[in-house]
Amino acid sequence: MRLPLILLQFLLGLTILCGSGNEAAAGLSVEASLSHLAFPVDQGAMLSITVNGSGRHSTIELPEIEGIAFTGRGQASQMSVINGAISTSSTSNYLIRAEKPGVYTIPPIKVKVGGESAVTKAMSFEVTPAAAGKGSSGSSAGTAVSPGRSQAEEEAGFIRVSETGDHYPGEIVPVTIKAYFKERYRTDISSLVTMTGDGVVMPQLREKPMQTREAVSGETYNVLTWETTLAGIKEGRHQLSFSLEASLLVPQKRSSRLFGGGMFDDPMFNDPFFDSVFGGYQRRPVTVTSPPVFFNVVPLPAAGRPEGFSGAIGNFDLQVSANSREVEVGEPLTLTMAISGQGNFDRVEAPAFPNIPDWKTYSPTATFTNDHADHGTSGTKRFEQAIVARDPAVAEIPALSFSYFDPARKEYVTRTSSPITVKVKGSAPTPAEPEPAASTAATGPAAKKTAEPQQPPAAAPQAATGLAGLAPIHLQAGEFQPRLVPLWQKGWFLAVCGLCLILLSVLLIQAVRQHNRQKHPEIERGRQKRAELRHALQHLEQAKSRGDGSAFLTLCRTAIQNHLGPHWNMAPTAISLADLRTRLAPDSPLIEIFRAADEAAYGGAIPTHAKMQDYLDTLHRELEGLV
Amino acid sequence: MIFRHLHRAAIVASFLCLLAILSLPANSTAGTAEDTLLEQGNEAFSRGNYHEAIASYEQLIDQAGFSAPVLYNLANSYALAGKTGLAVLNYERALRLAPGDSDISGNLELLRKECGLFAGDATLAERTFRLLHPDQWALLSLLALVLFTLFRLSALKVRFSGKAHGTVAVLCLLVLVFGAAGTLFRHRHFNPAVVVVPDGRLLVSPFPSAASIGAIQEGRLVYPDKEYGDFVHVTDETQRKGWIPRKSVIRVVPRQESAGGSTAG
Repeated sequence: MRLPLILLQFLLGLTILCGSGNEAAAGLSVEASLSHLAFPVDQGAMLSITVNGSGRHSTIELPEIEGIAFTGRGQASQMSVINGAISTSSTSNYLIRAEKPGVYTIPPIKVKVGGESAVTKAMSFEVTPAAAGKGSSGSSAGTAVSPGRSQAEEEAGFIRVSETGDHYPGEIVPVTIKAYFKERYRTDISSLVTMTGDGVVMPQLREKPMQTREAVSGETYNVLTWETTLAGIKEGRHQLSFSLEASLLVPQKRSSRLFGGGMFDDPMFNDPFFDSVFGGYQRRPVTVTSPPVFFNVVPLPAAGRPEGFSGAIGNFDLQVSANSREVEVGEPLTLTMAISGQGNFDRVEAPAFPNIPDWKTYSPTATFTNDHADHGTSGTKRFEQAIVARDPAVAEIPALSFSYFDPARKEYVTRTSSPITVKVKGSAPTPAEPEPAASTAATGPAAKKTAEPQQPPAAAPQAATGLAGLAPIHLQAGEFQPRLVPLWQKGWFLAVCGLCLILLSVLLIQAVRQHNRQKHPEIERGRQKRAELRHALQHLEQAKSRGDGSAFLTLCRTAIQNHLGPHWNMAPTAISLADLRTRLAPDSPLIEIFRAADEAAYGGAIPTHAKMQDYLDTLHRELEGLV
Repeated sequence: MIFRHLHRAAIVASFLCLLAILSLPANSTAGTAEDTLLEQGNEAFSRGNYHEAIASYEQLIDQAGFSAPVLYNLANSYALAGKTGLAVLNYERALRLAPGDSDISGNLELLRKECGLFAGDATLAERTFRLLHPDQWALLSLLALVLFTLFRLSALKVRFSGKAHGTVAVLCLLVLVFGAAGTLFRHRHFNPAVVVVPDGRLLVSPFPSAASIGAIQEGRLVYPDKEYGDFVHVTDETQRKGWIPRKSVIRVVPRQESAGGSTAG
């Protein structure tokens, strides 16, 4: 029953062999990298030589360097299949140790694969004197040289960060961050490595790390490697930690009981191979962290610090040139100052042009071209500054200086350019002299370093001559104000605004009311009638109070006529008792009141006070009903 | 009827308020002591003794408060003494009081040009709204509002044609909206800060040893938005953001509401 398994394994092997055959035709390339470009003599660095494009056995011819020992640290191979194309690579690791401090260069290393051969690029590194008491911290930082084995044993993965050591504020420190995951787990990373800690900054990591395999204490790990930089921004000993979110796909054992025995009880189906094929995986989120990494930021030495030092740390060179050697007074000339090298270019600033009256200067502009192969820490920063000769007697552009701190030599270095001869039209002829180089011939810090940085003359600040065109001063003091307040916060501004808004609101309300009146005239008529009724009742009340029954009844009749007239579309004075009897209900109290009024007018009958009150209440009720 | 009365009362009250506002003594004028200080400053300026002139003008401001001509003279003195940052600061302060003064704006422009303080490329909106000072935009919108109100009030007595009514209303409202937009847009420009040190540098974080974003020229305007310790987070005219030491910049409008001298932050 093992026949199907054997057949399957045979087919897989055949596929891999075919893939190897395809891949063998691909080009051979070799890369070498060092885990640290500088390390103490009591520690070491890891040299990784990666052979891409061949799955066959490679022969590496290590060079012999006096005082340097190479120790093999295993080999890891990697194969990937993308869209049917198979690529393989193998990485050989060597531990490099030095006998004494110094600067060493590894020459190109020759690698032979079959009949082909390739060489790596030469690399330089520095071995510094042993740092006292660093051994323990080095291992706690998880160096690639002496890894913390216990953590690797306990967890599915871990992170190591290369040695950091002592650095200066703003110094760009290359570091290697490696995330190790045990080979037996399939791993998906959910995030990039993040750094936790104060006082140190790390740029955004590349999304695609280098993938290799490494054997650590007999266990094979898949390794993700990021080459990045750290920079201390605050002095002190900073504890850092690096972490990475990932998901482990842990293989699960099959349960044959699900199938109830039978053919699945066969020993063939209990082969571990089927656990990986049919058993499935469990996704387990994990956070892989590094041991604490200590990054010590020490202050730059105060002694010997040049006045124009802007914080640049590294190794730089200065080149100065001008776009023209013949100009007229007032004609701008572009001065190009190129600072190239390796270091923290963010702190590299344009050399200060000496403050001399012969030249008027403008602000320089800067462009930076970095070398992507070196994490952007090496490149050229180019400054262009417009300068204008003010005096026809000007004969040269003065020397410019740029100062930086060299961390390898632990001292300040000042690069100074040569003055550039120029001819300003109308100027006195300058004595003939050999044309100086337009830029410094700086070769190295030691060769071109000057003892004292060249500083601009310490003259008092002087105004630009163009300021002679300033408008004259004012002779009157004008009005004084206790404080500077914007117009929109001044009281009168707010008062005028508020007043205008109130007036506009009143106008708006009035316009709305007028609109409503025009749209619904009956509302206005009702309001008018209610006002008239109120007015008539007031007169009736007064007549009643006076005891003037004749006037009271006359007012009653007028009120009835005035209110019924518009209703009946008749002239109020034309309404008679007959009209009321015709148009109102026979028992309407208004008929009685109107009749009493008629009788009083012709017969002189005067109602009593109680009767007047009764008429008044009745009239009020009936006419209110009509409104 | 009630509304008609109310309306008349409102009109009368508004005119009375306007009259009262216009008749208010807006500001105090200088007395004899202040005149003497001004003359001393002007005399020192004429002799070319700019430092003495600066001392006199600053004493005058301490005593009497801010005045556009005095701030302007002080700015001229600073400019000729080579202190670009303080010159720009006092020109800006003078412009807060007299935004339409061509001497102030002309000298400020000349100083910025001479010192290479060129502003970055501006968008069309920025170029448009920079035509006027924030106070001028606010005044424009106020004038539009007052005119519109008076027009609406006069429409109660005078009957305008519908076309005239619509034209005036649309024009007033357009100016009002444009002025308000200009005021809002230029609102934060009323109180920037000025870099007053020659070797200013923007840092990535508020610590003296932090990495530098780049140098910032003396006289540059920056717009502070937050503070931490001895540092202020600012945005400069080219939209660079970073931290700068508090002592390296001075606000155009001093925080202390009194006339606290021209260099008070």
